[in-house]
Amino acid sequence: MSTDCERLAALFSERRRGELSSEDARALDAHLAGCPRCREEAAGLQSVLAAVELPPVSIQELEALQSRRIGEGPRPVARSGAWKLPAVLMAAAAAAVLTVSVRPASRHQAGPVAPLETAAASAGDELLPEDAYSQELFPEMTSDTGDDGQVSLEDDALSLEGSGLFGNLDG
Amino acid sequence: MTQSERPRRAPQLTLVGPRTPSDEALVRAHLDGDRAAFGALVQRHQRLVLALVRRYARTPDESADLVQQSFLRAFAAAGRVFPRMRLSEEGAFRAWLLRVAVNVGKNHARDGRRWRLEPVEALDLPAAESAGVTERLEAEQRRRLVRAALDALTRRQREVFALRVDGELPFADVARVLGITENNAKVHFHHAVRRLRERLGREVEE
Repeated sequence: MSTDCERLAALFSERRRGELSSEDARALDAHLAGCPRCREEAAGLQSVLAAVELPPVSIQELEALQSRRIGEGPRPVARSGAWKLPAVLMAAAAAAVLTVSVRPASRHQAGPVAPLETAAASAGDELLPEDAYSQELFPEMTSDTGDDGQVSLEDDALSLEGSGLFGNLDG
Repeated sequence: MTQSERPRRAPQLTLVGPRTPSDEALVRAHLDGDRAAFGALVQRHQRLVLALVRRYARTPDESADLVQQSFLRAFAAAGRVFPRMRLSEEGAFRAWLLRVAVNVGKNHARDGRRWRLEPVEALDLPAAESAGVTERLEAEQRRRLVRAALDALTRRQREVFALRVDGELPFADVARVLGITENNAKVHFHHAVRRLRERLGREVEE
């Protein structure tokens, strides 16, 4: 399987939008002519690309957006639920502190109990790992693979949503 | 031209220089209490954020809700985290905002209750405004199927797909937002579309 086989849908997407240079378009056609597997897939992939496109943004959508006056700044808006976020985070922090505080006593009943300050600090580290925030804030800092096409295609949702930063807090 | 003849300049942002301020400069200004900086960032990015979340909304008002959520969540993180972060990398805030928007839309759709028990008249589908009831139902059914298929993608596939198809970004820009190579973005896109085809099947092959 060549590199073009692994990028076929992307090349069709670029051709659909007129982004493919004439040279790349010729290369794509040449690849299709010589690759039965891609020829077989071509029609299906192009049908999907056509079917998943949304209609252009409507005037109604733009008007609704403008009327919201989002740019005037954050303020409590009941319907958005956005201001629930700090409360949820605080609840999660409290739960984590309690969990970490209790664990040492149950695991090491004969040993010394960790001081409260230490336990709280550990909980804080778990909740606000600097590295995790860095990776979520700045995708270029994530450990994705290089340019060899061998990307991880397994479900990596946990790395973002499992962090609890935003993913699963929606009401 | 005398001093009095010069056109009056509009009030400027705190950190505005001779060039248009970067997103990161505006974030810093916002954190320093400059309210106009927030508005400038919203004005700059709200169309793209709308494009990323509208797939998951049934009405224009719901789309606006999701745009608002995206900005508020991005700025909630900005106030908490950005002061400790290095913002020298241009595009860092935009990348963060767009990824938040993709997840806000996806999480909104995850709540299946939002897609049930709605009369046909409640649907506000721009593409189907002039169509009959049957066509509108078919259009909404297809949208549901696509949303369900998108939900089955990996996070990275979904991000690449949303930025490319909904955000209409070139693959080079998709790659910059996600911090991956352009080739990597194209491979993820290819596998996303293949997986969508497997799930959508005959629904899209007419």
